[in-house]
Amino acid sequence: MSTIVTNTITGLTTATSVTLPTTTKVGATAIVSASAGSATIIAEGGTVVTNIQQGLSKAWVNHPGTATAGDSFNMTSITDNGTGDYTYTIANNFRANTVYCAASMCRSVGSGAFLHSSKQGDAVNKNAGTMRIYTGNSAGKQQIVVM
Amino acid sequence: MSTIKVDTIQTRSGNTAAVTGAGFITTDQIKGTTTATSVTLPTTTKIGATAIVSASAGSATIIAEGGTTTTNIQQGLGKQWVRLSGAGMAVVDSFNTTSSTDSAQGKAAIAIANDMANTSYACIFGGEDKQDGGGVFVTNINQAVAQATTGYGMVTKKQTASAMSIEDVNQNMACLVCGDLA
Repeated sequence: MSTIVTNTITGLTTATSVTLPTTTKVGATAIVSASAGSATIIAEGGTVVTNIQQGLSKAWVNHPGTATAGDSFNMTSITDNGTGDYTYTIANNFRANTVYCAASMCRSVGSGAFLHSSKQGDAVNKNAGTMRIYTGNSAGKQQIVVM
Repeated sequence: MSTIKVDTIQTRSGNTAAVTGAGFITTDQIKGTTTATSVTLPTTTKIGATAIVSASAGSATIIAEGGTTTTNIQQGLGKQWVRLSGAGMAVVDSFNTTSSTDSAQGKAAIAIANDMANTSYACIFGGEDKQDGGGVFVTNINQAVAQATTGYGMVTKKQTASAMSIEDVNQNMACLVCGDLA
């Protein structure tokens, strides 16, 4: 077995780019590239692999109940459609129109109401670039989290 | 710049790394010189067809499922999750969680091990229905507990036709946090 000992590897054609084999181990952890857009990594048990891209959340937002997001990822804007009704616009769209998995929830922000819940809009209001969320309590301001 | 033209590189003990042309080096292992277990690769490193691009420390992207758009690895990872069980809110399984405190009936305080960078992180919850006749049963963040970089509060509520109450879950409740680590 041969070993190259060095501190830094630099690309030949482009100094900042280099290609490693489809199965590359970082220490004992193998990262395997099945194709562009599909890579696996050994999971916690040490044998089964899990898909990196499929396991990542693609968009999330903590929405304090105004038209401005708190913290977010891959979201460009929020549209206030009316009381308890918001549309979230995604920066980099999903591939398929309606088959991605989205979850949402909300809490009261001083509305005095007891139960607060949220749900996705129907298929008409969920597409590759936007998703619509309705809150369960229309009486008060609510803080919404979408993933 | 000097150029050494060679087909193979061989150590005195006989181990060989092949230089196969067109920018390829064939070897089984790469080790660090200063520290054997540490080596630095370029900011764009492809593993087969999958490019992992390090924009900066704490921010790396990977090509997404469609094959062209990239998605941020750190931003997409759940930073903390926990599954609690029973009225005592005992931790069944967790990640980046220090503890769960049974604050009161239907309430738990979660302590995060490695803190979040701000208090605007996203939490999402789920809980098992008690199946005791309640019409609506939700688990969400406890409004009475300020969301902190070190943790947050959870509460489970139930509504029946005639009453609303805070209830312990029948068996399990769970939470996932996305956001920026400190």
